[in-house]
Amino acid sequence: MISRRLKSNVAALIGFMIGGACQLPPAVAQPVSLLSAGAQSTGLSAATLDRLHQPILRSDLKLLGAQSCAAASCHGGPHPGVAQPWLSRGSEYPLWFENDPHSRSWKTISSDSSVAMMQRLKIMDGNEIVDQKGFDNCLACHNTTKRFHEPRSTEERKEGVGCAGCHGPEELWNGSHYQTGFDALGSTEIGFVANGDLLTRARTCAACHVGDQDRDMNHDIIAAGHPALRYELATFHAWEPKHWRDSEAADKQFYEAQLWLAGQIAAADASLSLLSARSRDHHTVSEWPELSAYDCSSCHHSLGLQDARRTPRADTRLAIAPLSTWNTAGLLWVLHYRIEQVQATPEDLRLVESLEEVRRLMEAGPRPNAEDVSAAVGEARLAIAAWVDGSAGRSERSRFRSDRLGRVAASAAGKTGSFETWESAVQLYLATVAARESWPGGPSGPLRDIGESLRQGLAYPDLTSSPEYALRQRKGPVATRAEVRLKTLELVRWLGPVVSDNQPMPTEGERSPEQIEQSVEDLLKNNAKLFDSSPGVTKPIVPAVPPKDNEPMLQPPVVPPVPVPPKPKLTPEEIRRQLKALQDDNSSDQ
Amino acid sequence: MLCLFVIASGWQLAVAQEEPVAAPGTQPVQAPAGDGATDPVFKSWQKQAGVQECGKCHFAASAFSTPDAAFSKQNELQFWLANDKHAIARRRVEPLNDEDMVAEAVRLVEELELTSVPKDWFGASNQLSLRICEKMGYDVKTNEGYVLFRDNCLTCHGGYHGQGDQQEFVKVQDYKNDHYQPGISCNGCHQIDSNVAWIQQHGVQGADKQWRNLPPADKAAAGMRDLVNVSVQAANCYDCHIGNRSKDMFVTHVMYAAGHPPLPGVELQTFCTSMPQHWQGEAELYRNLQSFAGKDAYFTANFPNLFDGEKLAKLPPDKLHWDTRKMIVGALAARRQTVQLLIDSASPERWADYSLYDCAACHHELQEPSIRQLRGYVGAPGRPRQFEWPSALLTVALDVAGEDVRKNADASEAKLAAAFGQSPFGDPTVISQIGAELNQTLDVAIERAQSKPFSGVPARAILKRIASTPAHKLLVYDAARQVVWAIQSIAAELAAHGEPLPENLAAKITALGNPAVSGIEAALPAGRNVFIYSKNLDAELNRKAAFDVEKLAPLLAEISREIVVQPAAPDVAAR
Repeated sequence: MISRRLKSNVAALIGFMIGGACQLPPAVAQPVSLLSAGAQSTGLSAATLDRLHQPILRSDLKLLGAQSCAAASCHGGPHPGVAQPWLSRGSEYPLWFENDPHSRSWKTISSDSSVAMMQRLKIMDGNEIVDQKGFDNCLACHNTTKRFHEPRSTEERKEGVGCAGCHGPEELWNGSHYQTGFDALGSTEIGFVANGDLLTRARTCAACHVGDQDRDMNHDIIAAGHPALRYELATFHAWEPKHWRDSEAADKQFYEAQLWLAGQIAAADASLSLLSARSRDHHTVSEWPELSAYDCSSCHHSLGLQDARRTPRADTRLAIAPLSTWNTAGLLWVLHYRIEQVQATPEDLRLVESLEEVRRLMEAGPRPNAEDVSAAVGEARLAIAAWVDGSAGRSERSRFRSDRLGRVAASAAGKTGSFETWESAVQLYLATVAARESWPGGPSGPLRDIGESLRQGLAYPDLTSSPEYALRQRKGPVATRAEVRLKTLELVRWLGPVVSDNQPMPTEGERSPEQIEQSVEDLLKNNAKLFDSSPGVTKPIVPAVPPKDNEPMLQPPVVPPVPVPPKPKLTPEEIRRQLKALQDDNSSDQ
Repeated sequence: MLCLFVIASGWQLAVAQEEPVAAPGTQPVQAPAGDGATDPVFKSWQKQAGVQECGKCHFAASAFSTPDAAFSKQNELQFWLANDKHAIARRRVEPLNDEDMVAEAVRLVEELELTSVPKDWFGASNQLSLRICEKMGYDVKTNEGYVLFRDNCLTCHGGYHGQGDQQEFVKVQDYKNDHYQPGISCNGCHQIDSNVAWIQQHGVQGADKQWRNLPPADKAAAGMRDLVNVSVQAANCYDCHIGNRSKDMFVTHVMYAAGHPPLPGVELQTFCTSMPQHWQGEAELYRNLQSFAGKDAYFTANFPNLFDGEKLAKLPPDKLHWDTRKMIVGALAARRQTVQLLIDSASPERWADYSLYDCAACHHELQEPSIRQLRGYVGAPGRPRQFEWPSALLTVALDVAGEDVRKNADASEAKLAAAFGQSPFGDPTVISQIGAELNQTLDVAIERAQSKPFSGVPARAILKRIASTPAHKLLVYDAARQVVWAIQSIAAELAAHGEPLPENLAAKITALGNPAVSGIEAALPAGRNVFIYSKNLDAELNRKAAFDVEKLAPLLAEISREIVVQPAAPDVAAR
């Protein structure tokens, strides 16, 4: 299951072309004052990116269901609306219903494997729902219903992720959104999500594909059988069957890079929103400390790079699971690139520091202080919003094209830490692929084979389960850090200057147990050559008294005492010289 | 008599290579094997004043005219030095690089006139230890760094007893001085703290018989650890093999992450046998004392809860199944020690060290569906569980103690499991409280189990019960191996007592320890010349990863079906 998910992630962009032009929506960052009274009453913060997707977080608006949108004259038409290309297609509902996996989400949660998961989680007992809150938490992402732990009473429609799941609860805008003059970007207050803005779209998707303050796919659920969440918007967007006119995709070099950037910002914010809820008692289904916040491969080694488990992180000796980098690595690469290019603003530095503080607190011990983490996460979310609203965010969202993304990836590839974990290495690969429009020769050019080779090196075997330790010992398909770095560098050196941070790879200079064993054997073997060994001198020492019949079975066999060995023929000076030579030989073998 | 033996010490002979001075009533003592004079292990230990003292009586056996000499094998020290890995436990982990090894090899060759580098003295584990130290931040080239290594590692690997230890535990570069102790000394196990009064008392001429028959509490008061008592022996072994935070004997997750091999689950009887055991078993001792009139008094005095005159007559010690008893008491004590480790770790700075949890709770293959999921969860899935191996034999062991005790323990265990399932890593305060309650029950269980003399029938009943252990308790390799070890221990003892199982059944039990058949390797990498790191460890980790209880379960079921418990057995244990 994990490998299938990975394959779907990392295979997505190789050889997959998307087209279309993108025009940056005029209201990239909406004023904080737009946070609705309803949203405020739900406890949402106007100073965070909650303002972008706040309608789907609100619990004060009714959900009407996808059928309410499916009239033939509205979004349920039989044919794509081609007569008025500036309006909606008119066939969104059937396109979604027939093509979009979100429409099959109810079927997914009703499957045998989902029921088995819910039974393991004690959400179900037999065929009965016995934990409504836990079930609501599942439905929060698998169906358009109320979210976890909120009082709204809704009719369960069993429609999967319907229209309101992404576009917002329809109660206040259902009767007006088709009218002339409806301001989509200005209707957040009445519950409409302005998904025309890529960052808003990214944040909406991230609410489920990462998690949020009102929906939490945690380690308990993963242990029960749910796949881990691996959100990267450029990849997901390429795979999503579009029920809307994807006309922005025409500017390829802008579109995929912007999707990637929006996805990284949204993922970071969503993961922090989720972490904030988890750190406060009873706000999610999770119990502190929530293990899914950490890098999976830190405990489940078979999910990591081939040699990751042999080399603990250089910057900590606590042997504590490191915080997952999946949702923050990309944004940090952008920030560090800006710092390297002397483009950093105070917002850049504030955001770097706040993200590092969250990491520091989460890795301070096996049970991090929840209150401290909550405070640090709050500051980090504010810092993200400030960055988006500030000159740094505005600048990047207007000029971030695939060539700049390529340079960001090249900068990241020069840092050893980018290959510390499988998560980070895969994110870097995905960033590189999201910049494919700037590859020499394009996505189908000569770099394609290197990219495919890297993809295969990062993918798990084509099994539904993690590779067994025994298989990994025989070098499985997941590459080593050094191999991943080598191939990534082969790719990104065409995209921008790679400046190495001159940190040795954790594996370099490390001797494997086999090497050590071999060197010891060599030492003994060579040592034996130094002496005129008489037979028997290496025999084990045995007790002088023969064991009695009734003594333990494991007592060694009795052998006659060996004679006192003759003195070595070599002089001490010669021994020193030759052992020194042996030591040099061992060293040069490394 | 023992005093005379002091004069004619085999240890002295081995060191000096002189002719023995035959004491009246003794035969000339055999000198040890030739390597004993040049083996660096022997050479190091011979410099230890305390061990020298032991060697006066316990180095090389001699024949005695009096039958009570059979109380001791008298070659314990020599046997231990030659065969037991504990004797070089520190050597195996002295942090050395190539350069250190070469320098030491040169010096050894010169000083001991060796003709080859002693294999037992150097190993890949020395370099592993150095790497672990480097990752832990111990700069062992400096005194400060070596002190960190000593305080955190040599408490188990070197018999270092913390502040006040009389040994200096100096850096390895200085080991040629007279204080270098290459492993666990005699007193590391046999002595309580620094109380040396017993050393003179137990060997004084004329006082020996009186000493032997003193109540165990009196011996302990004089400083001798009462290793005759299985639970005392178990606690002593488990301090290192499970952990004891009050003695700084604890393998942290930092150590594991830096490269320390995982501690294997312990089955006391199997581990003792595999050391190999340098002392006589109780049945063997009783047989060797056949002509000694004081033997019953000795057993009555030293096993006060087990024997009285009536029981001795009914079930003489040489007919009892001591190994089965040790396995049962060892299982109870192992659980007690793991719970105590939790209790001792229930402080904010100690709690939730990952090494308090079953390695396989996190480090397992990720499969769906899996037996792990089919088994179900106490609380939510995905919460790190306690070590599973100490519970594999627990139900049977508790039943030996009595149904009331088992019910109490079951209730506490259920609460403890729920506490671990309540939140990731569990609440230390709650777990500590429940743990204390459980250990009170286990203390009662241990006391009761130790007071039961086991004969063949209850041994078979226990064997059948253990072979019937449900598969869901054996998902983890170490838990499954507990069962295999226990079954093989009981079967071996039945055979030793002339009550062997049918040949076909015995063969199946032997095959349980064959990894090709069951996935379990029952043999331990024991013995002084056997290295755990790295080949044995690699093989072990592969077995753990590949272990599938579905392979073992049908074999156990078959064995369970075939074991016939004589209908005369009303209970699991004889009373």
